[in-house]
Amino acid sequence: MTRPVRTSPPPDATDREWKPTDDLPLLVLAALERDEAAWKQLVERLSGVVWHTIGACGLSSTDRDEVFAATFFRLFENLSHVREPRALPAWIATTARNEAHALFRSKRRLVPTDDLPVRDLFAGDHDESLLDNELLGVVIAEFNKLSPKAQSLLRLLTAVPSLQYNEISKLLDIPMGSIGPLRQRYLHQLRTALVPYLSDGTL
Amino acid sequence: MNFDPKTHNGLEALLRDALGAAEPIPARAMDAAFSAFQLGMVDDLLAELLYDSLVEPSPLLMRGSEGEARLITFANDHLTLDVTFLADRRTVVGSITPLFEGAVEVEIEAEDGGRSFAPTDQYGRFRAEMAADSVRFRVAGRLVTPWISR
Repeated sequence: MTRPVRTSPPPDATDREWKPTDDLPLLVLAALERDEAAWKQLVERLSGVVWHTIGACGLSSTDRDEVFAATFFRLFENLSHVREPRALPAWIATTARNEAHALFRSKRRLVPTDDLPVRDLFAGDHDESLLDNELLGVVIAEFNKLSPKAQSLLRLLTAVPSLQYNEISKLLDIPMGSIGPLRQRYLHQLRTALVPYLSDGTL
Repeated sequence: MNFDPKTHNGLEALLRDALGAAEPIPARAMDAAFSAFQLGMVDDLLAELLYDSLVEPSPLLMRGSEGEARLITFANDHLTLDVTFLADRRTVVGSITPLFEGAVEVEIEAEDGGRSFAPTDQYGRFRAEMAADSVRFRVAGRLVTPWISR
């Protein structure tokens, strides 16, 4: 393994002035007035938190697409009932989780089987060829070695727009007081695994 | 590097980047979500009641072991939904056509907000128990029926 390549942070990682929830109220209003461009912006704005939530549910890639679309259909149907647009990230994360569980239930009924092979679904569900950055590839490889529970939590913690601890607690059904300590533990595990790959080795 | 992985926030930012690179949201998934705007127009989704055996009794109606049933057919441009309320006033069986790929569930929404989900089998058939007097059916993104009182 060669030395890591520099990476660029996403705008939301460093820009503390702008929050991706700031213009949600305007986008919701415009979409309700049948402004399709506003709807597309709304989808783009919320796509990250939906995708990370679905990723935390241990679905195959095909099912992820299906649940992703179903989640936004649900949002569109409910758009006129949105009272607090800034709370949409939590609402849509819950909706995505529910859609994923509904899909699990239907698959369980259709194909009687043992518990879903969550670990298998998590592993190797990404396209290595897309990783042009070696360090990012290493991060994913080490991330995939973490437990499914750790992966789920870290996916939700890295969602954009971000989710609050109480929201993550509900989504994963773990006590809110455990999230901080678990976050520390899992990030420590990941950091320890990455030490050999980081330039100065002093992590 | 721009992220400082020594900090929790920095490591999370690095992981966020890595996940974004390894598992980008496929364009087809984004397109499907965008299309909710077109498909999701209520007028477009709302299914029309095409047949109701309560209104038009048919001599062909089932009067067998399951007693007298009520047959209803809904359709929109996307789907046709046939439902049968069995005589026990709880069981609903039905089917959707045409079949399409992926797991499909028929959602049955009660007036009080209760929701139950019935997965369709490989032939598009489903079966559910529903005690509510008024219900409507939904196939996410494809069809919503008017409210039906049993």
